Amino acid sequence: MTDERSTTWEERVALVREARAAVEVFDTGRALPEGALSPRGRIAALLDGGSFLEMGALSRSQHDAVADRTPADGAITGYGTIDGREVAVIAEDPLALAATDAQVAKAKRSRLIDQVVYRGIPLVYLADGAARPYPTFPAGEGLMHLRGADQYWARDIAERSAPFVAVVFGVCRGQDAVLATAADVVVATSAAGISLTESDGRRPDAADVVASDDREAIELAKRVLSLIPDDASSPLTPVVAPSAPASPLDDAGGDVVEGVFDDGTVVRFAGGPAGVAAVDGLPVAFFAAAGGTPLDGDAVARLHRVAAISRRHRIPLLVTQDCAGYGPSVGPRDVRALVGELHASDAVKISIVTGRGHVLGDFVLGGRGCGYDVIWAWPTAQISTGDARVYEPGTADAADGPWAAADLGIVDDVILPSETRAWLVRALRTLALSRAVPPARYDRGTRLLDQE
Amino acid sequence: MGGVVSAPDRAAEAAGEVRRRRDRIYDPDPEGAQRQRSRGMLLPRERIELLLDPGTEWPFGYTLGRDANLFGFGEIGGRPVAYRTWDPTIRGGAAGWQNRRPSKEHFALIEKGALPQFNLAQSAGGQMNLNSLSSTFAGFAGGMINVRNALPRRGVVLSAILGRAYAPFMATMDDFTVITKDTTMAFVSPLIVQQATGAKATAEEIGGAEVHATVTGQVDRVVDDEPAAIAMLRTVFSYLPGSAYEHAPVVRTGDPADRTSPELTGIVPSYPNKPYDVRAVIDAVADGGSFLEWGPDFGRSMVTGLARFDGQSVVVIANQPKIQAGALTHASMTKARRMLWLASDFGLPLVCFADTPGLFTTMEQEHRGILTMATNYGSDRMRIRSPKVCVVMGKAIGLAYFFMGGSDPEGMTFAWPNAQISYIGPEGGVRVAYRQQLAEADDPRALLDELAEPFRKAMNPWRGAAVAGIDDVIEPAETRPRVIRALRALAHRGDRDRRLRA
Repeated sequence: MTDERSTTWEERVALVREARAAVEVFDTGRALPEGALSPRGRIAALLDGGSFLEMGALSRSQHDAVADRTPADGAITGYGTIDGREVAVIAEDPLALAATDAQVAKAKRSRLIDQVVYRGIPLVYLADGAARPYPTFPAGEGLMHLRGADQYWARDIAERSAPFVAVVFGVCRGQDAVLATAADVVVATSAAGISLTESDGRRPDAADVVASDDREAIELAKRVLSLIPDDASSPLTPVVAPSAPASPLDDAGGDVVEGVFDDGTVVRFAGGPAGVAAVDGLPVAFFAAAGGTPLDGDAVARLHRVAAISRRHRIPLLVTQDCAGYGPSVGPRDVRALVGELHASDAVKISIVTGRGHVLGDFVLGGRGCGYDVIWAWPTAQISTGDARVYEPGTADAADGPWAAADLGIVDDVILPSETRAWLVRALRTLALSRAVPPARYDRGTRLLDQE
Repeated sequence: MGGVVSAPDRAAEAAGEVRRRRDRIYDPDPEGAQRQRSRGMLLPRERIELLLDPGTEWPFGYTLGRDANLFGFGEIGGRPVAYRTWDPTIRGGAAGWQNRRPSKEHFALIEKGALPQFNLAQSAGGQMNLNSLSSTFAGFAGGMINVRNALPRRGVVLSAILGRAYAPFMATMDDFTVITKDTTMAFVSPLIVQQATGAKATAEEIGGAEVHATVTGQVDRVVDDEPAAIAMLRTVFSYLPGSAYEHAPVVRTGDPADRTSPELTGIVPSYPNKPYDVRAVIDAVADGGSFLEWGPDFGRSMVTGLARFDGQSVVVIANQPKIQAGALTHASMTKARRMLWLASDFGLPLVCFADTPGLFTTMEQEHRGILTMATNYGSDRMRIRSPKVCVVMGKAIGLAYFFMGGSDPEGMTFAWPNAQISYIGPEGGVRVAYRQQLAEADDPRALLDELAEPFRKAMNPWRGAAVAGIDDVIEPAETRPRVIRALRALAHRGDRDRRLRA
């Protein structure tokens, strides 16, 4: 029996290296499906090489019986850098008996989220759970070792100021799903399922972006993260190196997303008209309604997602509209909630009418009443307060061009499609400092008088 | 011709009056200046010149009246600062009431600009004259207290006691105080002490530099002379942000962030039962030569000061196993609390090195009120919101583990593999728990050894690491890169002040 007091440094340091190697082997020594990464492999793919600083690096389940099978207690937490930018990471490990009651893991997640919220650190949540029911361990056992496990989520992640991106690789259920869906953007692989309970089955529609495999999902998450600045109160500055649009617009118009935003920066939600992108390196959240059809319930929900990102991070919101009002699947409460979101936002909001458009009242795609700061129209725009055919069936669409609205000051200017990018960049640069300025709040009535 | 004065003459006369009034500071009272010189001491002018970057001085309110208070602004290392000093050539530097208005205005500007404030003190206290009684005193004192203590901290306050100073409260409400070795600082003079109690004592016995450095802890450093004291203020300032609204300047020395320290296992014992000098650990881990100790001769069982890690200024609090085995005493906690305040007021990161058997358990310490001190120390430590890193280098027993920042959920805790973390030491615990058996044993020493061994083994850091109370068990050599990495990860983003004070 070696006396503890005569243990040498060599023997002690050997224990450190042994403990680290065991954690490594658990991660690398597993069989993975084609295109899948291990939890530490995902962290490696996400972060700059060698930048990961793990919290609770040697943690395991508090149940000694399963300690060997629960490295990190199934939730790897820590910090690292992405292109030099510090972020926090939580990576779930589906193999580490993740379906135990995982008190240590809960304490780790809770603690990291606490730090993320009060220090303003970006968070990436790499969710993946086993598709098994939760076994139960004797409640209370091991609790004496833990701090904070009883107050799961010491702080609400919704109080954060920095960006939060969730990437869902496998089953994401229960509290994991509640956490993941608090993200600004949820990226999921096609194998993922996000649900509250088992019986819900898989609900991929909770994801904003779907990727074909683990690596693509991580790349998309990094792209999203690069577009959202850490701090919502500093002047708007480029977040990525500027690049030209994929197919610049000529005066015949065309697809705004391809023709205005920097090539390679666009992330579309569900492949649809909403997403985030950069224009001349500056971040924007966008919703580009096209096709002249009415907005459906799904579109309103997506617009709400990007409007929320825009509000929380004070990044500009750009909407374009070529649409015929609301369709029958849109409920008034959904619209009311979205109007509230737009009103509450201090971000710069710009609307461009590219085709059929409505710019009055509280129409969510450009109504002044929703707080749009700048409203432009292309010369081909048809601006009306409604569709004349509704009132006089059989008549032609009586929408005006943009000029009557421009004459009345309902739109701020008529711009050429080919100028759209340049004007947008100019407006964003001009209003860059607005992020740093505390929002003006008026006494009741004053605002109207000011505008008279 | 008599009373007729031309306009240009009037202008010249007015300008002359301004210059004459302003120059009074440049040309002090000859008798007083002579007295000051004969003691080998500097004049206020010379002190200000040593303090500020050349040519940056903005004297404030000097034309108003001749008084012993001198205020102004300037730059140190290119950063704006305010200074306040006393002119010992006038009534011994006793603070007058003539300058109370510029004094308040000066404070107001310090407050508005969140300026760092430097006090260069040599003062006989307050002047007694008919104007200084109740009403004006009440007004002035209110303004003085209000600015520094009632409002949230803004700028840092650094003081030098350069000559005999009575009631230099500006210098005891500050963040850092340096004193020259031959001078004294006290509330009142020996004469008043004698009048009150009949006790005879010299000024040195009441409040000499030595007394403050070792007994009262009211000064942070003692230096040989005035230029060294003022240079010390400039050096300390180079580690600090000017105010709570800024970050400290980053000063890289070229010491690589990924440098390892293999020498540490030669300094620190592999089983924590041998004394060593923790300064050697700090020097090995921090940027080379960057450790600047505060209070080296007071509360010596802790070592405190400022250091840089990859250029980033941090507050360091370490146990000193060489003194009282590194136990926390009333005095060492008094000293370390100043560092905690500095970290919480100005958002400086806190790096702690723990190797302590706990609080110092003597009757004298109990009688000094170590319980209350421990409560206050604990709550001050909890208030800190800036990045916190704790390195456990050996024993971390009882409350002292938490006091050194161990397992702080808002920070990072790294333990070396020799760490012993427990609420009581193995031998001490066994002595209490098995006192009956030990009393009856033939060889109590051998029995104690035998009974303690399983506890010695169980106090390792691995169990704490398993429940994530310890973030990692690291090799001592890796400490520097780990600490630097953790400080970067935990840094605040964006509006730092809003976060820190939320």
